[in-house]
Amino acid sequence: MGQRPDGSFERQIVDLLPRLRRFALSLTGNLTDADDLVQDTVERALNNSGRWQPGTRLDSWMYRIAQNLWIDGLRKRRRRNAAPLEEAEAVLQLDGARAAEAKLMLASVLQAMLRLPEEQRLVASLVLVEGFGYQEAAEILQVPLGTVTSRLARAREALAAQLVPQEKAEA
Amino acid sequence: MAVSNEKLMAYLDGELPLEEAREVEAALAADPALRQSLERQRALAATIATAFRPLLDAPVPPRLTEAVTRRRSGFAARAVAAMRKMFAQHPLQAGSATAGMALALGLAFGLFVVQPQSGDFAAGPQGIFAQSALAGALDNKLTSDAEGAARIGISFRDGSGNYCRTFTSGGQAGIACRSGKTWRVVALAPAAVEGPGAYHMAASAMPDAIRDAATAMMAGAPLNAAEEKRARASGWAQSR
Repeated sequence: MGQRPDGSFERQIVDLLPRLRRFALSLTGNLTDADDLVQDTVERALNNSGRWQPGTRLDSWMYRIAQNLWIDGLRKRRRRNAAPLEEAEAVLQLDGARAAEAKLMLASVLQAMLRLPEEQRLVASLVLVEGFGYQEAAEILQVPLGTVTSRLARAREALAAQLVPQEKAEA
Repeated sequence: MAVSNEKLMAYLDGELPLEEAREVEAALAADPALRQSLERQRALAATIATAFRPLLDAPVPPRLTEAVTRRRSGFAARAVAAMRKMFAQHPLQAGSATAGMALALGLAFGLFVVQPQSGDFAAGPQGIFAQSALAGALDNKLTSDAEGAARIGISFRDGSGNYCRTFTSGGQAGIACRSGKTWRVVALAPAAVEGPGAYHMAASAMPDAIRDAATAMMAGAPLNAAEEKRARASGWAQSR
């Protein structure tokens, strides 16, 4: 059986891994849970590859699996105590002043994301972190478009209150 | 004109139709507080995008890449390889010793081999081939066609560049690969029944064994709708 390393279904999934990790970190707030979620997502995707509809976006399908697993897991799993600054340190293994600034920025964003209700965090992760359009986000979350816009607006107000200093906006 | 928070966000995200975007722009020109809200949200979006950007360059833990590649050498791949060899060497005939052997092997691999029952299959010296209605469906039907007894699950290319298609027909499911002008059946299993009561409507679903076998055989992603049409137009000729 020939195994082409490029362009295969598996190759495409490998290419999606960094984005899926980013999405998972924005949901879980810690890298260990994020990587567990990505691993479960990959395994479920490969077990159900025949259910992926050719001609539709593979990334959207994978994100849908990830968010379903995340929601299922919430019911079972006790929340870990997240320590965003440590998580940011783990992601950014760099030194120097710019790295320190980047770590603080990621830590404060993770902290603010964790304070959101789950349903708002999912929308914020898909649109603000991953850059999906509203329609795509609605399809991934399997909710109406209006639900995406209202949850997103509420999430953004809460995030801006924590992350955007007032004087910055007035400048 | 009052602009709702949701509309302002949709404007920022480029999600508004042109006409509504023009209305928001007019409101922004007249309303400094609205401009401030927009700038705050623009700053927030930039902060979030920048904060998470390093994840895209961070090394991916080996356990994740291994989770993707592990499957190739796994169970389903072995099952398909064994079944293909058997089908190629020994045509299945009802009641023959080979059929019993194939059944045992299929059971051992979790991939059930059923004896071809309907007129959809013909056994020949080169193995089992699709005929009549099933052959017609494999030649002509697209994945999106839900009419008729024989249906196509997915279409894909195997490692040799031959087109293969999963199908359900007459209570059986399988994988057929293009071989010259015919379709050689490389895996066959009883179709899964889709939901209670569905049996009477002859609706049958692709069993996991066939899905897994197809995944293991597949080189590249399944064909999308456009690729499938092109492949059909080419008579499913080997592409590389």
